[in-house]
Amino acid sequence: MDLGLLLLRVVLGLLLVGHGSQKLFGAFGGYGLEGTGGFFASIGFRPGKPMALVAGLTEFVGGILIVLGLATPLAAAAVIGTMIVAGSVHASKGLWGQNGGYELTLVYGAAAAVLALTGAGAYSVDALAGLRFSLGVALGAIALGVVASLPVIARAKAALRADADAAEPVAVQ
Amino acid sequence: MDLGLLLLRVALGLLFMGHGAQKLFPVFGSRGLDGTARFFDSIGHRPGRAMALVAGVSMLGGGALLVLGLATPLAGAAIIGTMVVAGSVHRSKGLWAQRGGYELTLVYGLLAAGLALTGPGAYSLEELAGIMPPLGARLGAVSVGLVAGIAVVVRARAVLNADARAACPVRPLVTH
Repeated sequence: MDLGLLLLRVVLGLLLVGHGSQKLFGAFGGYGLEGTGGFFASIGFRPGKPMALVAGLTEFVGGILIVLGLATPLAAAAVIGTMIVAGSVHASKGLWGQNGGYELTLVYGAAAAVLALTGAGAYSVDALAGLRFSLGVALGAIALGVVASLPVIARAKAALRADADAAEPVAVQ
Repeated sequence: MDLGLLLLRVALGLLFMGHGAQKLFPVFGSRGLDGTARFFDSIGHRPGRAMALVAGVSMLGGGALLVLGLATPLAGAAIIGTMVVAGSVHRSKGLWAQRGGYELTLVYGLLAAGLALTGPGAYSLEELAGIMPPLGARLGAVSVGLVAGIAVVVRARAVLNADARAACPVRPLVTH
């Protein structure tokens, strides 16, 4: 049991650290804060640079916490929130990854939710420190991640709508 | 703990069943077994139809077993094997999914390995039937999946190499 959770945590956490590093530092062929900020602004997440910083930090720090098995529900909430926002960018292309859909973000978010519910297992800082989170805390963390993502998505949609209105004003009858 | 494992099994199992169904039948926007067979032929997995059938059945069957929480080490092995093969197709594009890399197949294979090692938890047919595979069997299943996947990849490479040689035979070197 604990071996499986350790494997899951380490690989998943490192991949998330990688995604965060792409956004924050331009590592692994990423665009860095400047480039990511420009992209974020173009899809309605404004101001782009601070939003890219938030997204990069949640992935980077969330990933490290998951690898360490520290404050696992908090890490999961951060990852779930980021993944729902990321998934919303791909939503128009449907589910499947081969069509550019939100499959990968769904899998990442689900895996984070799973870790919140199972806990980090025996080989973790949580276990070493004697931290045990109740089911209520885990469910609360998942709910927090979901709820936090919704206003971000709604705000971006509103920003894009305002752009469209500005580009093509409705004629007054 | 058990609730988390149930969530993982159901979400992952259903996604795999979807991918398996795409290979076997023209559903969820796929071209079914014929289309998959042609694609498999072209990338060296021959005979394409038989290999597409194996891949589709591994994913559909492995996904169904995961959802039920039945024979999870076997399901894990089937999924790990198919994901090694699927990942090899994306390998030339690197890791990251946004560039067409093997990230998604890695995460899927990892989650299947994780489940093979943790077991399906309390809300599962294994638990109902009182089946508790030992850690050795679980690690063995993960290894079988890895080895089977690598063997298929090596075979496809050899087939493509043979194609390349047939299309462009090496001329004997002229020696003086």
